[in-house]
Amino acid sequence: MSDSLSQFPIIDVLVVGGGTAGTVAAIKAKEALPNGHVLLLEKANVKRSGAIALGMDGVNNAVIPGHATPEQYVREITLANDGIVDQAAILAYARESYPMIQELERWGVKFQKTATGDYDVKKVHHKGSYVLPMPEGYDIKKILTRVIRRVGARVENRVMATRILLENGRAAGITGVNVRTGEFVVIRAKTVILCCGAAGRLGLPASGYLSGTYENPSNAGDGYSLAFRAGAELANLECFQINPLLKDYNGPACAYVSGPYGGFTVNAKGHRFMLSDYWSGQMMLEFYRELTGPNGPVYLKMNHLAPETVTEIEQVLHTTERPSRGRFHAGRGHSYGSDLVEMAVSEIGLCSGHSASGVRVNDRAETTIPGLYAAGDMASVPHNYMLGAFTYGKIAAGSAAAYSRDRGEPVVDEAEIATERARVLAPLHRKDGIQPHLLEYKLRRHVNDYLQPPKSAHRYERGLDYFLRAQAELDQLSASDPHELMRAIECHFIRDCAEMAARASLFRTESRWGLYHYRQDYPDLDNENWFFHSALTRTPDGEVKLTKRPVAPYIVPIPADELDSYRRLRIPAADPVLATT
Amino acid sequence: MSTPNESSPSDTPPVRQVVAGRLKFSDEREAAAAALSAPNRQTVRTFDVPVIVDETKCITGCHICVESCPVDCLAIDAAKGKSHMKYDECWYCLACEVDCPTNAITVKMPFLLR
Repeated sequence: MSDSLSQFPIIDVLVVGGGTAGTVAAIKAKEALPNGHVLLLEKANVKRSGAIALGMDGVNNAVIPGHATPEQYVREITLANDGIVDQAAILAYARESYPMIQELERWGVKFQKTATGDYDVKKVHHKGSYVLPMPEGYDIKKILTRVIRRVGARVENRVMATRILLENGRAAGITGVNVRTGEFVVIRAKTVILCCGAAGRLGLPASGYLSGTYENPSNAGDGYSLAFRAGAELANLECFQINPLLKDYNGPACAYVSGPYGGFTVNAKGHRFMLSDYWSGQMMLEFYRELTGPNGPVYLKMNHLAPETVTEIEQVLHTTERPSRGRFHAGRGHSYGSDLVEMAVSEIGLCSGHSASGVRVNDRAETTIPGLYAAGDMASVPHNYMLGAFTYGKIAAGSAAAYSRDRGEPVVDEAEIATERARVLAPLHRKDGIQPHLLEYKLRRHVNDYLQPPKSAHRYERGLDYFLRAQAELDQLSASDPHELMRAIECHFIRDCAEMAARASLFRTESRWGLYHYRQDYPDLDNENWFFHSALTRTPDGEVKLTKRPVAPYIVPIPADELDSYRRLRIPAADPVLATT
Repeated sequence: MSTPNESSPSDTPPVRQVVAGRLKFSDEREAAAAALSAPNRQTVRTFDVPVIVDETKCITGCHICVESCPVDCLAIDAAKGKSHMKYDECWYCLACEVDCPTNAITVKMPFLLR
């Protein structure tokens, strides 16, 4: 029935999303299965896609011998997440972190070294040193694209997945749509690795500009929605991503780059108010309190630094990750050397790369669905950042390649495919419907109105009420071309993520992770009742279930006197020495 | 908006009296039902877009920028054979500007952020 079925052979390892995790997953899967069929799908073009489309200025979580141990890193991330972590998954990353750095170097990625040739690791975290600059990190995506070509993994650009196909509860492939031609695509696969990035188009930036998100706007929460609809378990979705960003520009400032050179965050009086600029929920809460309190707004201060230091910082910030930062400041007549940089709080998102909300995976990148794997910003390993995405892309590829060897030919349900084809293509045939950008604006405006922390049950129930009603509005979307069809389908992803964020936040009746889950109606941490992961799943008939999943016993013990160290970030105003250094 | 009915013959009973300045519906439920069942109609709005293409430098047949854009907001104008910003969705990431082989592209900050 589907013409597209013949276009693709049966795929051994299908990677959905060609950003940070996905490119490495495809490379490693092809290396593991040189004669197998490895296919990488990307809704943009792999050379410039994902969170690192324009490169990255450094790795934020390098665990390098001589600078940190895997156990130290596991402790740091456990503390930064108020204890709700799967340490085995963090440890699996930490042990593979250094080998991944060495592999990236072999591929041509350059990391900053000292005069003696050692890795130039910086301290940004509250306790340990894990930040490794990559001043020439602007071309990392081009390097990865070259390696994909070299190993011979097949890439299909401009194809967006719309559903995961299952066969008796196992992954069996995906349906998708070509966002340039509107062609419906069916791919049968023995294993599927989801690497779709963050849910970055959830909240609306304060500027009101739909595409002015912190995350690459292509990351609409596709992977969260695909996994949700397939029935996979999602973890800790109430632990939002909220970041301290350049006001209006809405990109990182970035304290991780400027901090090691002597830059730091100050209030309107020019005083420091927190001990660490490393992004944690508690750091965001201190930031938010200062921003909205009598001493707000908040600034990044670099104008006390030597001119040559400022130039060095500018060279990094204006060539990698978000290179238009320079023209943004210059357009207003500002510079780091002469002005304080005004900061603000980002819109909310879901992104375990920075916080902890994601599709639940174990230390082998397995989701709760056999044959389905997840890696990167959408998988539940907390604070995983870019290097964690690379590393878990590699781990997922190893697991998927092994599983695919014993997996028979996947069988897909033609009736299910026909239904999905009709659903996906409907907006192209619907005349005089709702334009995708309007519904997207409305969904995301409701996210801001009701879901932006601080949280309370009354507001959340109002929000949830709209997200459920929005189902009917999704059925009225129309699209005048395949590009608009992509935006229409993304509205479904955004709505799913909004519903999940609302339900998970209502479920956890305590406050945890600082601003990420700050409930005004339950303001206290409640370890007695809530030292659990929240686990969200959707049943085939559409019911959403939330349960408590126990935190696995720690592999790396946490000394009792360190337990609340990440909750002691505030510098008292009465401490003039700390507050002005 | 209600409009005056200028030529209604006196022998035809009006379905509903339409008088300027008065609502044409007898109650709000009826108004809401009528509004819901009325078809959607679109209009065209003009935007200043952030991606500016110098058509004298843009190479006909090249579509590097169109492939670079992570949000797929650029396209080749079929009539001119030149690149342009087709959808108001720029992430001001500069991929198009950096990758253009002839420096034909300048990315401005979107006005709302400027």
